[in-house]
Amino acid sequence: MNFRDKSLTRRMLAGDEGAFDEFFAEYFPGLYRFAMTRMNHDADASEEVVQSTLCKAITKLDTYRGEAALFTWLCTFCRHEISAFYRRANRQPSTVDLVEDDTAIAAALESLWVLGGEGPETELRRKEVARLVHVALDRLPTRYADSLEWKYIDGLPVKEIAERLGLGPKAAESLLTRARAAFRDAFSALTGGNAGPGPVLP
Amino acid sequence: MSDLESKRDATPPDDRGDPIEALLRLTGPRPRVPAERAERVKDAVRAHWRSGIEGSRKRNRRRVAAALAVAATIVVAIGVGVLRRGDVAPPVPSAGHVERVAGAALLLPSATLAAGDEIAEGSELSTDAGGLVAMRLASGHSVRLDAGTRLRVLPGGALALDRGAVYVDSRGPDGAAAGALEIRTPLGNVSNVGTQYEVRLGEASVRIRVREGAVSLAGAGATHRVDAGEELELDDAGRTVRRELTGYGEGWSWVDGITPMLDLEGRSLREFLDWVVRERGQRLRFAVGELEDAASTTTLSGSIQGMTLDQALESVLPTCGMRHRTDGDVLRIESLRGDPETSS
Repeated sequence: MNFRDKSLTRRMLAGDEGAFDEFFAEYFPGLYRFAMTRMNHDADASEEVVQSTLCKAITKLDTYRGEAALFTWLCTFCRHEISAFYRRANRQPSTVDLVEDDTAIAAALESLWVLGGEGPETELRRKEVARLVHVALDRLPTRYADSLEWKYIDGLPVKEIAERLGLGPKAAESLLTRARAAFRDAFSALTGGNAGPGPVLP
Repeated sequence: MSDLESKRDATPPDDRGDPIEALLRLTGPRPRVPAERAERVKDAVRAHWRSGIEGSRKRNRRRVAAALAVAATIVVAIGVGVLRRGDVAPPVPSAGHVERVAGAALLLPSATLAAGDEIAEGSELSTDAGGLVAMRLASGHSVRLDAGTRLRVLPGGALALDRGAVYVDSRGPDGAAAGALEIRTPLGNVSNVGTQYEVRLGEASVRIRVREGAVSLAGAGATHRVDAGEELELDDAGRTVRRELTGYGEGWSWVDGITPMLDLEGRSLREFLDWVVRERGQRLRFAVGELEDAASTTTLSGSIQGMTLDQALESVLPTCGMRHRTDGDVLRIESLRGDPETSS
């Protein structure tokens, strides 16, 4: 049971404005990126689809049981809305073979880790790894994803991360430990646990 | 060892490092969503959400109105009196939700309480002789009701204890502290300065027992501070008795029986053990230092929902090659294989 997600939806159903703000801040960016990668990076179409996704999901919020993570539940709506968008436009979606949709691609990733060097193929695969890392981050609770980016990309000290999260340093350390574990699991799940022999890219 | 960590060994020695850090640095931050797009979508979705909430409130008002109309008909038919019906009150804000129930507990007048139920401001909760309830307030406080308790959730977030006892823990599983909480009793009002305490209302007295932090009791024209390790009893004549208290033992066992279980997934064994000893008012000791190191590096997966603290210990520790022994207020962790008599 995803107690936090369930509690958030309960508060939204009760009309809590703060809960709506929290919901939007937590899930809109990830869903938008989710749609962008499936809609050939068409920003207007992605905006339309995500807006429609959120409205449909909110209408059905009372059916969310907390069995799946709320983001996963929202992604299900988003996939339907993307299909509906292309049906309405009488267009075929661009072909997107995304690893989180098709685990068979995971094996192809392995070559990236041993490929190294430069060239269009390596560059393409680097982009795919980056996308997977971002998808994995989007599937984590916002505090986990943000704290990992703050620490490892922005290089913030734990003390400052703790201040941003409103936690003590010890609690922030603990949160970072859980965030790392959650990221490892999410990334491993996306790549079918077969991401290759290690990040050898520069 | 995880996939990523095992793969670290395959890289040349110069490239060795934290694989998660390397991967995140390599890929950079996630692309940001343009603010104007986010604002546009937010406005549209918020309008949709508000209209749904308003529609739901109107449906609820119609249901209440219909129920009142039936009640009015019955009252008139039996000639008891006149039903005064003013405007139907708007829906009340949520004050929290139920995390766990053992035995029988009611949301008065007659609804049976279950885990997951919403608690609205103005609700009145009651436990019978064998009932226990744990709830999480919207403010973040964990509140547990002992058997034979009657508690009202007041508008604004305060609680009114009419009978029995409540235990309050104002620190969440992630260590974040909630703000102040006021508990009103007929003999005085209790507000927490700190984090773990019990308020028990007797026939003619109120008793405060503080496990961690400090509590203030304002009653009979005076304010009394009660610190961790202390118990204070105030009677209806304004007399106080102060005693020393241990944070562990029989007097707290009812709290163990209704503790909402920790979400274990991804936590370290050390975090789990620290949580157990805090919940029980104990101190943690490892038979040998190696066990303490192992506890910090062992990541747990699975669920202990529905268990007691003892059952959780008995389920988790053997899978990590450990067992526990309780020695007074010390929870001692030993190896399943037996340890030398050194302790860390």
